[in-house]
Amino acid sequence: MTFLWTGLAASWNFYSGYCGRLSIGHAAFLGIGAYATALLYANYGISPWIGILVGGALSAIVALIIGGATLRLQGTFFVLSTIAFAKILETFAITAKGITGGSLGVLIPYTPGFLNMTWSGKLPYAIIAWAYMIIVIAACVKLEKSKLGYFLKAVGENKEAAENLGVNSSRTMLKAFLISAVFTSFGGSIMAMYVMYIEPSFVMSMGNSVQFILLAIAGGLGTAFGPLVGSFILVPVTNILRGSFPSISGLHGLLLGLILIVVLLYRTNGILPALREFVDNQRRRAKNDIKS
Amino acid sequence: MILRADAITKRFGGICALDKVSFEIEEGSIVGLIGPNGAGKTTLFNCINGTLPIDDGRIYFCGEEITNKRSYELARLGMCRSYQIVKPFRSMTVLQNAMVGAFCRVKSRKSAQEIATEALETVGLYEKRDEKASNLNIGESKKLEIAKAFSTKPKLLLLDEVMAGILPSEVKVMSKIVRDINESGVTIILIEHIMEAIMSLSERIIVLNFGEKIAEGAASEVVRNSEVIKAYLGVEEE
Repeated sequence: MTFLWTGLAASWNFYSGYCGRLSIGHAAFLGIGAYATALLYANYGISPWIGILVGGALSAIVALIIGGATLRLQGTFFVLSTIAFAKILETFAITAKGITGGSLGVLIPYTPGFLNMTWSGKLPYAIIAWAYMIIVIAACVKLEKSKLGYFLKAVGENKEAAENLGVNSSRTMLKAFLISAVFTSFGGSIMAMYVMYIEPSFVMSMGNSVQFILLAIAGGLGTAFGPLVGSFILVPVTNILRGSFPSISGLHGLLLGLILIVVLLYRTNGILPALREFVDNQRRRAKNDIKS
Repeated sequence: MILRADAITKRFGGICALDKVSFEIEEGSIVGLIGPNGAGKTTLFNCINGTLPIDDGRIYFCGEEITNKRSYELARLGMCRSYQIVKPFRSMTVLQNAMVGAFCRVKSRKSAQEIATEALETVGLYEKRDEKASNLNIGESKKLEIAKAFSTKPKLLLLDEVMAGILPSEVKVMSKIVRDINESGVTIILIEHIMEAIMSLSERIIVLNFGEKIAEGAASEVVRNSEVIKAYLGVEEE
């Protein structure tokens, strides 16, 4: 599960982290991926492997429409529009009972096998989630070194100045938004197959979006490995907290929130950049020691 | 002729910021654009390079009409500007800043790095290439503005007050940078208040006042023009 969350956080980071436009509604893409896979498999017996791709394609189309419509929105307005978009899809998933089964959700039949992407043990799922995480992080590493990555950062910092240098800001943002949405959708598909049951309030909820966004923010916005660091610290901490205070429900959430606030107050950039800075300073000090 | 403006008009509500401004820029020249504060100099830049749409008139660049083209299209055609109020990409390093411009011409990171490095050498920021752009002082930031624009390999460069707010000793350095870039084959339009610099650099000068072109000509002629003196110093009541 940690791998999966990391992958999702990194998918989100791919767009919002590098260009600084926070899409709080990314759970919508997770939902699209999850539903596409689950419905195709449960109703038509189509292999989830194909379902993943269908979900990705659907997400790409939706991302183009939503991304295109929200291009001109800036700052808070963009954030709000993504929330509205996620809410619309969630509501749709609840009310369109004929298609999605409404709030009852979709139960995925349990027939283990490779083609069905269903196994009795947890290991294969872990491998898939791990591969997913690696692919998304690798994509982020590649992004950082590519033209798109440079353009995305530049647009995020100053759209006018970037356009002056020949950057087509609309195309840059759309491209990244689309890739980010497709990756998120893949994560949603994997999540659906692992949990074997999906419902709107689970896969499409704001809480879900916020969870992987927090991982990315805590780890380090706009850094390829930030989401990894964030997840591998925060997910276990969440579990420990939940285990330590089982009697009071919700207390772990409160404590987690506090930890996050402290991290963000102390280091606005997140944990990873802070670590890097620390290492750099140590090195510099060591160098100076040698000199003197 | 690299740039031709034909009766550019720009209104902000009731105010006419540019009133039928026409001029032509010879390829390879350095042209100064001067005028009192609020004359419309920066607005003229904004209109030429597509940051602001114009209300009337036409603009031609290298013989092609570019009226109301977007600025990223113009950058690809070979026109780029620097900003009076510097706009660096703060979280990126100096080299990365220039590389954004270089990606306008090349795809691979390596060639972008080469172009950007060259541009940084031209403006004398090579030593600072790994510094975060947010750590630069104002003089260095102005140089970075030039380097970013120069990295797009422009034919025409619009420089907006690159010498404002820098040390007097740096003005000479900056003048040399402008001249070097010009000698590499780039036409330059220069907005500047420092007369000494603009007089020595520009072959021709265009003077704006209240959105109208009031004079144009060789530097020595323009300073003797009575309209220009009136605009800058006012007239004595008789």
